[in-house]
Amino acid sequence: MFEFLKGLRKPGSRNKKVNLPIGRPVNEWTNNSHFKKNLGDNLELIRKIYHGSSDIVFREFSGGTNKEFKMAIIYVDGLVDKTIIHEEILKSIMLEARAVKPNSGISKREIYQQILSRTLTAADIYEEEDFKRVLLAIASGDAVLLIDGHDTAICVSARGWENRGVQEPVTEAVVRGPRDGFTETLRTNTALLRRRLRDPNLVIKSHVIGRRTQTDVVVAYLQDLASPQIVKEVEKRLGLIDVDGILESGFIEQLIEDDWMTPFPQIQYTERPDAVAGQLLEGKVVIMVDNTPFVLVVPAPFMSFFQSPEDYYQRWMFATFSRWIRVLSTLITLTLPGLYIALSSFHPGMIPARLVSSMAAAHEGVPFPAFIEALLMTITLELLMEAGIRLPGPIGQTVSIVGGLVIGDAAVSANLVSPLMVIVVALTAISSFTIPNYNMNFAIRVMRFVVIFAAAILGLLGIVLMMLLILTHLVNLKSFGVGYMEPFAPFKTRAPFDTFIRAPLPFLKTRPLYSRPQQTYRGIDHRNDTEQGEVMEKSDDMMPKLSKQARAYQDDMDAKRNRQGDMDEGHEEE
Amino acid sequence: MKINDNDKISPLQYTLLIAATLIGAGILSMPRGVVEEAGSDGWLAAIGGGLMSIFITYFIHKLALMFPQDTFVVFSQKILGRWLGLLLSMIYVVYYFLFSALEVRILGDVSNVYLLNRTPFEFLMFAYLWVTIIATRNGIEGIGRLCMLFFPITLILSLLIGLFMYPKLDFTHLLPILHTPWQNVTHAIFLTSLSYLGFEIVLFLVPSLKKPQEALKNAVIGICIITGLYTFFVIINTALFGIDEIKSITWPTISYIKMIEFPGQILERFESILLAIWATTAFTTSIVFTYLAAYITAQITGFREFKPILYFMMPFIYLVAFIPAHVDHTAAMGDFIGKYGLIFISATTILLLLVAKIRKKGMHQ
Repeated sequence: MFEFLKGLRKPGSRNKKVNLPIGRPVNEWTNNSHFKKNLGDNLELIRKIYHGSSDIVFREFSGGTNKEFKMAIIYVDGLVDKTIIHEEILKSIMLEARAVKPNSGISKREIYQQILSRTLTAADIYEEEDFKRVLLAIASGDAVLLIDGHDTAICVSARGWENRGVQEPVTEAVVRGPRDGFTETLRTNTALLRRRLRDPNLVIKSHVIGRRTQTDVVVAYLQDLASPQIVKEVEKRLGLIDVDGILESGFIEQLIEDDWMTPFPQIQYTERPDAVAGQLLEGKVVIMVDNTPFVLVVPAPFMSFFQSPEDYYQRWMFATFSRWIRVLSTLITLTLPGLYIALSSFHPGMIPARLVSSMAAAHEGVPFPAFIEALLMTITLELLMEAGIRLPGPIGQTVSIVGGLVIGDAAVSANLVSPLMVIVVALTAISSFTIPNYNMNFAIRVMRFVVIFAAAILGLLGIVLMMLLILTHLVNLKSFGVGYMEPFAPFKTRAPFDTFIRAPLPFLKTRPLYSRPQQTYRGIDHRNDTEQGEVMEKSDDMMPKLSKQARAYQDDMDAKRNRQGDMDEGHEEE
Repeated sequence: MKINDNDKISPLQYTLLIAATLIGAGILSMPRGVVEEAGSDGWLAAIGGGLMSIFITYFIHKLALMFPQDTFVVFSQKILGRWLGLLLSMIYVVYYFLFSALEVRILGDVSNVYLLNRTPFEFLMFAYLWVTIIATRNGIEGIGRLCMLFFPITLILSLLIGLFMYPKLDFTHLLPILHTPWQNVTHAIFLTSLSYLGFEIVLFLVPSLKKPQEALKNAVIGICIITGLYTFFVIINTALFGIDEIKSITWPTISYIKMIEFPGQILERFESILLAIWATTAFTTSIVFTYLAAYITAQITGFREFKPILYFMMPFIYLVAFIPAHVDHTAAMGDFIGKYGLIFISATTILLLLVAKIRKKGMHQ
């Protein structure tokens, strides 16, 4: 619907000519400098590059019995774990070097190998010749050991800084489900994932994006599940990003999304590791960015924004019911104020006679038409929400009480708005919060205003025409090449089973097809199979047409299950 | 980026596209026309009309599938030569153009009478046309997906409409069966098949179909659904109003809907909501026709994009929609376009088929 604005700027058009590789070198930092043999020269060079910044620590020391080997450690104060520097580097080099007998005859040339293979007790060390990469290593929190006479640096991974620790995610609360959430440290986040998915097929690929921030960005997916095309597309789009800074995954989201002229998000974000693990198991691709707990998931069609990870932990009826509530509340959020305007201003005949008289009585004395009333109250509501987010916790509560109760009540008694309008707006506000994803919540809330305007102009027909426009827009959106309204349009078999209802787990045998998984069959055993040692008859109508690969996989599983069954029986007989 | 050529019309999409194109404004007035001609055998005429359109559809698909890579514009030139082929394509443009103007007009009329009395229908038509143009702009794939979303809603609502009034229906109005003279029934069949117009869209869609070889089957399924729906509407309308009363109502279906009382009296005058939703039904028809009008023009003139033509056409569609002076005039215009359209479509299809056979063009099974 907003395509008419598209001529203004095409995303990525600036980058079209240069297709830079991911993790391009830090050309801005150095003028193609490289290491020299002399330690003093190297230190001088690095000092110059850092412009004498006070948080860079240069620790020069000497090793060997006669202190003949000059060395230096460079690290960023606050980014490293000092115990590693003390215990694993300095202590070992200095004590070990002293233990070497004078006549053992270690030359300057051999000291490097000696330190690398025997002296350093740190676990994670690597050699680096590339000057730029060494600079990046220092900035990332590694300690760099330089030895006089050698133009190769030894990098010791000593990263350790103050962080928040794993806490419960604030934005996505669940009643049932794990309480851990992603943190700002990328490594912790990948570990949280790896803890859930021990499958070696879990690929975690690292990229560096941002000319100045040099932010670590990780693409994670299950090698044998995720669609290679989508993975390729993700990497291509990441490779096209050319900005100086990535401060949050929102930057990535906005730079790689399919269509930016729309309120509807095409990339999902979450801070729940269990949600991400679930998405990976559905064959989706995950993008994790350092320094933020928010992880991106693609592809993300419309319906995926209305699902909560909890849906799969609760029993299916419960989950189905809460999904219905979400669909209902989305409709309420979108159309209720508009419907109120349409009914009260254009089609009062539709409202039952008794209600219409009480409505008229309530509206008595209110100077504004329903449209102005609705606009007034909805904008007030948005003001309150925005204020509530910005203000610190306790004050935020005060604001919501003052705003919600006092203003609402006073506005009614001052005859500014009718009580029914307050009910409508309050109901809308509450409904909007049942949408699990804040991005989508926002999109629906914005669209609500559009519907209000349409209803004010054309009544019910206006609402329907606006819905048509919104649907037209949605139907033509794409998320990484996948239709936004999948699995409904284009229709995929079994579409209702994991959208409007959440079918019982034994029936959710296939992955959602919109993520184009390489294997469609999940391989969830039916409980009856193992209990009675019988393979349940597979009804073909319950399954979508499986690809050849998936069929083979399924047969494999069946064979395995049968073998298991035979073994069990044999065991019992003995 | 395309994954699994999602951007082509799948068989299911094609079925629903046909169904959604067929069912349009006609459903409001059709029961009257049928009953006027065929009396209590109107529902038989509705089935007959469906069968007749399936018959024509068979030949149309046969023709279209002889050239699975080309649209009508290209293959008519291959068969009949450049100028004659272009002439036929241009007639199709006029036909679709008039039809989309007509749909806009009917929607303007209906919403002006039943939904928004005080809003000028010029404005209603403009709003409607604007939405149509925006939806059309994204091409046939987007239209196919839209139809997929809307048609199930239409179907479910239609059945609900029947259920709500079940206690008031008097099926003796449908008797006696086979009492009408056969001339009247044939005429009625011809009349109803006007409501089935739209099955010829395959002539222009073959290249965008994912599985052209299944096209005929899918189209027939689509037409069967609509035949069932139309027959259903003729039956419930006749059963509610009786033959004599129905003849005096302009839009019997609307009058039918007006009599529905929502259980529990949560909402009165339920018809406003249903009419507003009916707008989506007419909408799916009019986006397909508008799209085809612009698309065929683009093909004839050799434009690569149909969008500029679409924008250019918009004011003309709007102006043509003003031509009918009043509601009856609109209906007459509809009958006129439908009648000659149907004759034109059937005649050209058979002509092209014969000439193609004689001149040995295209693929033959």
